[in-house]
Amino acid sequence: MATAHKGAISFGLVHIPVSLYRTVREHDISFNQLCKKTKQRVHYKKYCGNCEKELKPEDIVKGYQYEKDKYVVMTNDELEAIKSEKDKTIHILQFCDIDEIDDIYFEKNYYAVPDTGSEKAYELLRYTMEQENKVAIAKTVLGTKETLLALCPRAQGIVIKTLFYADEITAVPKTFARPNIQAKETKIAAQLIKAMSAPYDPNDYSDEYQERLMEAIRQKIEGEAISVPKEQEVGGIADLMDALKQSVALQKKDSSQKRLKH
Amino acid sequence: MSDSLFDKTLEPMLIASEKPAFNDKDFIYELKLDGTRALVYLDQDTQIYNKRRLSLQHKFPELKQLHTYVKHRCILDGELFVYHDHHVDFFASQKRSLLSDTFKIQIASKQIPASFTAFDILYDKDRLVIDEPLMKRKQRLAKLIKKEDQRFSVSRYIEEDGIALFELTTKQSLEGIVAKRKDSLYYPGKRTKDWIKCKNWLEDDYVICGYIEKEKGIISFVIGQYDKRELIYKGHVTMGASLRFFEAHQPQKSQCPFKTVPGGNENAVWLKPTLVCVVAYMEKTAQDSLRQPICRGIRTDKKAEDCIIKK
Repeated sequence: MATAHKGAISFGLVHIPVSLYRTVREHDISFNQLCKKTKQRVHYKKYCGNCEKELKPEDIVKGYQYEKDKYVVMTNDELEAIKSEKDKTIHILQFCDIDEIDDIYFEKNYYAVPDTGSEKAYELLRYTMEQENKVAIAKTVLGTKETLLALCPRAQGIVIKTLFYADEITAVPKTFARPNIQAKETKIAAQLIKAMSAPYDPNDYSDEYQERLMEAIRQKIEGEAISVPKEQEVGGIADLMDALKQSVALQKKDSSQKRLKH
Repeated sequence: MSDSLFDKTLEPMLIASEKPAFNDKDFIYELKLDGTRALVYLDQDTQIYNKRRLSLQHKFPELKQLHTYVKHRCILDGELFVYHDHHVDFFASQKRSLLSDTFKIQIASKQIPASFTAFDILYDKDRLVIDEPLMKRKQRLAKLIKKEDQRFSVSRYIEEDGIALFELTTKQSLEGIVAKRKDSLYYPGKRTKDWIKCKNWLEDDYVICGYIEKEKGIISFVIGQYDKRELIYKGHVTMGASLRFFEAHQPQKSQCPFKTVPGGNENAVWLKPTLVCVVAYMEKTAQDSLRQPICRGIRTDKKAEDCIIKK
């Protein structure tokens, strides 16, 4: 799997080079748009209705719409001047208990894997956080985005969670009444919950729509016989290796016989 | 298993030297299969790791039963490759390693399935065997195998006659052979001179159109070839010798000789396209770029205009 980010965890005076890997993989089937007639890929062209022509990258600038049909243009130089410094270091800012972070702040997960040579410092940090029951709050620049992180110790290593900033979280958008509940009612509800409780196993669930979609596509591919190989050359590479070995042996026999004749 | 020897932190031993094929009774010779080097951990299941310890088994679902081909728990070293149409297809196995979409992997594993050929054993049943000589390990490997088929096989080897085997691989367009000293031990993660590769290189002549200075005075040539009268960009090749050697040929600076500056060459120093260099490479990709190009040297007996794209 490709590295999502390379940087170093900076913890006091210690510097721990790590690589970040994604913890999830895509399982949704994605389609490409094709021309109905020719089956060629559909391409997008950037077009200006006023100039009536296609635009090249150098013809395009970024504008912010502050009112309908009113834009302020921001040049690349202006944007560059205020960009976060491309600091790939994962700066630890503080430690806290994992329970202090409301899980509404969690966005994505990454596995942090130590680079060769930094395993010791990495394990020291992981083990100590685990013992102290703490997670580290840190900041880094992922891509171009200044990102807030939580470094969490796990048995398999450190898992890094990206966190939403406080201003990204919205409140419940609408109020609703909270009527009083009768003890009798909670008792019945609690019984039902108890009856439906079972250990949670993620393997019990799958996306059934995706499975049907995959099956339909698989059948089509096999139907259109895009060369599912004829259960190929029997023995495969082993046959080739044996054949070559035999040829060498034959050549050797040949040349030693020739030598005997002379 | 929490056996520390089985904690999957081993790395394969690597080849340190390359030489023309040779005959030597202290060596065995086997095919160099052009795929992905892999260590497989076979126990209750199959775990496959590349030489940088990245896990590969989910990319090769057709190989998840490798543990059923051996009699007991072991760690094997070998090559993971795609063999079809009587040819070892490096690009097919590389393409697969880059897939991450589970569904595309499933389809590919049926259409162009990969194989694993084991050539060494690091761990046998209950202990590491890396401190035993190669021939002893080869015996262990042979004894361990229950069955072979298209998915799994053991590497065949011959003794002494490296040159004959190498010549056969040239005819078969295989990558080449590996010579291994019979009494060599296995040092995980190290480069060893006891293992020597003898590769089938291809060669062609290219026009030097400019250069890019990399770190420490190392330069890469920007090379091209003619298609009729137009010079076409053909990529980069690293110069083995120093910049000073190259400057002795007194190249003249000039404008970029291509129609447009190819991407990634904004910092190139452009030269008059007069110098010709010999480039060795493994094979050409479908896009006609070179795999593992090496500059063998500068050639003064050929005109730049005669470096033509061969179709």
